[in-house]
Amino acid sequence: MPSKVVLVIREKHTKTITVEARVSGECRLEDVKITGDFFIYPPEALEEYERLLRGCENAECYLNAAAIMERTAEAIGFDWRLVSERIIKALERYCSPGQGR
Amino acid sequence: MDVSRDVGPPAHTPAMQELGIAVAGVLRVIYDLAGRPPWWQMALDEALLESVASSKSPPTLRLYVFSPSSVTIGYFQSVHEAVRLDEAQKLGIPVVRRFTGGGAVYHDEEGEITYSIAVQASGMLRDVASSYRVLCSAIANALRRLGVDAAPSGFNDVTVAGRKISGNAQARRRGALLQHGTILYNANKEVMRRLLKVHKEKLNAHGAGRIDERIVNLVEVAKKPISLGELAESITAAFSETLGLKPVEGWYSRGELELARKYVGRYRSSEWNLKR
Repeated sequence: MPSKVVLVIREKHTKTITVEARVSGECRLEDVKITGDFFIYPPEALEEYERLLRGCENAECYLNAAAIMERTAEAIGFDWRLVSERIIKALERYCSPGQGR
Repeated sequence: MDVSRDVGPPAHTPAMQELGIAVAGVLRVIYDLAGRPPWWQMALDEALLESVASSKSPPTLRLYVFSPSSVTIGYFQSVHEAVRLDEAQKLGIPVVRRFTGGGAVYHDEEGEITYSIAVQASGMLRDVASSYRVLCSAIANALRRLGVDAAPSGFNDVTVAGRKISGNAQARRRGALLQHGTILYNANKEVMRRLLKVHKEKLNAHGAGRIDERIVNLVEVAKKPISLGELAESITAAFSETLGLKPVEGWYSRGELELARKYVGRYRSSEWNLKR
């Protein structure tokens, strides 16, 4: 049964970014929705990033998704790498034995 | 409410190009201040961007107001996270998703003016961050022309003494850009507070406890009474100076109105407005 993890990210160089992740029992990212008051050009790039994140189960996958987006889209108030790193950190905490679930 | 008949004048007004007026070096200015619902305002802005991107329209500045009072949310926002929909329903305030990013905005029918500027993204406007700086500086200049000590702030805001008076957002399409933004004139902050949800992380970042502490109206900081007309003229003068273009008053072309009619359904649809 997937569980929901919600993160709110706000740093000096970002707008407010909310990440809603659905995580499987095996700690795989089943689904993700990223929302907020940031700017991404072209806008469809956010959906592409979410698509790349779905199914990730290790840090390399999350960081690869960020690296691809950094090369292909422009973001203002949004940081692809930071978002991937925060998801990794949150899921590490959430998925460690005795924590979160 | 069907306002399709209000989008243009009763008879089509030929655009500058149709009249054979040279458009090089000209900034077409559309004063559309009678007030229209948010779905038409977004459809008209998108039509302008598309038309400028297709080189069918000249650089254009549009000044407009929302009627009825409305909320627009940024393209990437969750409507449920950004707006108290129950309050909006109670107050009869429509909520529409923009095609630009950024945050939720309360457009007070009697307390706010909105501008949009559609131009080719060349020179200083090619780079996204640089174009925000240039165009937000024009808004700050417009306010300084009226004696208000405004300055660009962050990526996309204009502030007076640290409080936000204008928020701005930009979309790009095939080498053209459209930036639109609001200038708070005398907006009802209580209604704004009731309607908009703001994360505490965002308010903390701005050192404010509540949304109404973060923003300021022009009437609060102006040293003398300023009419909406004076504000509109000052915005025109500032953009004209920034872009080095001569302002010429105009109206929508037939092609732009056709595009707006094509787009308006999307901005009225739940599928679009509730998509995130």
